[in-house]
Amino acid sequence: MLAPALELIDVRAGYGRIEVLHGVSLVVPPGQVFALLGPNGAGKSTTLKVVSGRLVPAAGCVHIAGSHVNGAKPNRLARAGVCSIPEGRGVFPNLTVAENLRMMAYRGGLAIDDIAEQSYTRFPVLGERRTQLAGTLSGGEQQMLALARALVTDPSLLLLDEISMGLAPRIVSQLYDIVGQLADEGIALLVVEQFAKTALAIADVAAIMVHGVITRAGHPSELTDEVSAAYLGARA
Amino acid sequence: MSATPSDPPIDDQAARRHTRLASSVRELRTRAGGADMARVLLTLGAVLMPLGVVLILLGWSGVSHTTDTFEQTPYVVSGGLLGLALVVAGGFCYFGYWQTKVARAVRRDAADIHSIRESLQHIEELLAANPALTGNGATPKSASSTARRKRSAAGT
Repeated sequence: MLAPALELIDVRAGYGRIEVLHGVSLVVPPGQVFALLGPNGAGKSTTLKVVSGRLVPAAGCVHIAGSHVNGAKPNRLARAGVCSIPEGRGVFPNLTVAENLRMMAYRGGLAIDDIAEQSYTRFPVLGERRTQLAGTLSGGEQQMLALARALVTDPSLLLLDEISMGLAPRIVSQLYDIVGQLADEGIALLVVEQFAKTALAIADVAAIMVHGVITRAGHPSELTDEVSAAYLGARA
Repeated sequence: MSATPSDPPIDDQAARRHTRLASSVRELRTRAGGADMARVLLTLGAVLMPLGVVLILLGWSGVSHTTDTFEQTPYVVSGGLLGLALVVAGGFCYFGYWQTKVARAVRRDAADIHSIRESLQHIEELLAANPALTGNGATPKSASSTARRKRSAAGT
């Protein structure tokens, strides 16, 4: 039996003296999509920061593929195959699409041409705009570029923070189709999202987080009705 | 509440990626304290404490060989106080090393318990799947009890 791709056990974390996560436990099985839903300020992004190593938990355990990784440095985790796409896309706006992709050639053994070919095959629209500055792309295209940059690293665990933010529903749907394909390729995904309906459509497991605790978890079909109640402040 | 899904079937691609992730992550050093830090603490403690004792003895020797206070003072300051400070600092280093060892032992024990619990669950599932193995053909109670155990293990 394989250990979970990601396991949080009673994790507590925060900023300074303010605790944001009050004992979060979750399990992301290998090759599955876990949707973490919740309203603004619930602690979803903080959870991702803890997993990606950008925030050291005050208590609890972070296990990745069965190893205890509390406090591991973010760059080390990224090289190990834990890739994070932060809120706000994380592309270099003053560089062209091709240059943004070239920045990912830091991983030894990857040729720039291979990176470009791999990215343009998956996202043809990026190929059409390879000489365009990333900052001038549409929101959806920037998100695709962020995804392309992440996929160059061939991640085993991908953390997505609000990829739908500021995008039209049609674009969001396209992006989530791509996320579904990534899961089919065996990548374990932890998706943090406010756009609950779209995320639940592709998720294998989902959880609702409110005020730094997971109030409900289970199969997406069990949570559909409870999401709106949680967002509007009712007890889930 | 914890979000713990049941064990799903895992395809080959996912298993391959998972194995690669597991081997890469195993090599990671965490800020919580790696093997090297523990060794540094042990070495510092082992050097500083005896050095402090030696300085105190030298200070005592210097003080005992003169009756003039103005000659004794430098021995007290450089030998006695510095020596005492080194002994205390070395003691803290050694305490840190000891705490690291204890934390590691606790973590190892927790992992062992987790592994034993998983093995027991697996055995219980096998018994549930083959009632003949239970000997008396008693009704297996594993499905609900396994779920209960999982819930209690998850602390819910």
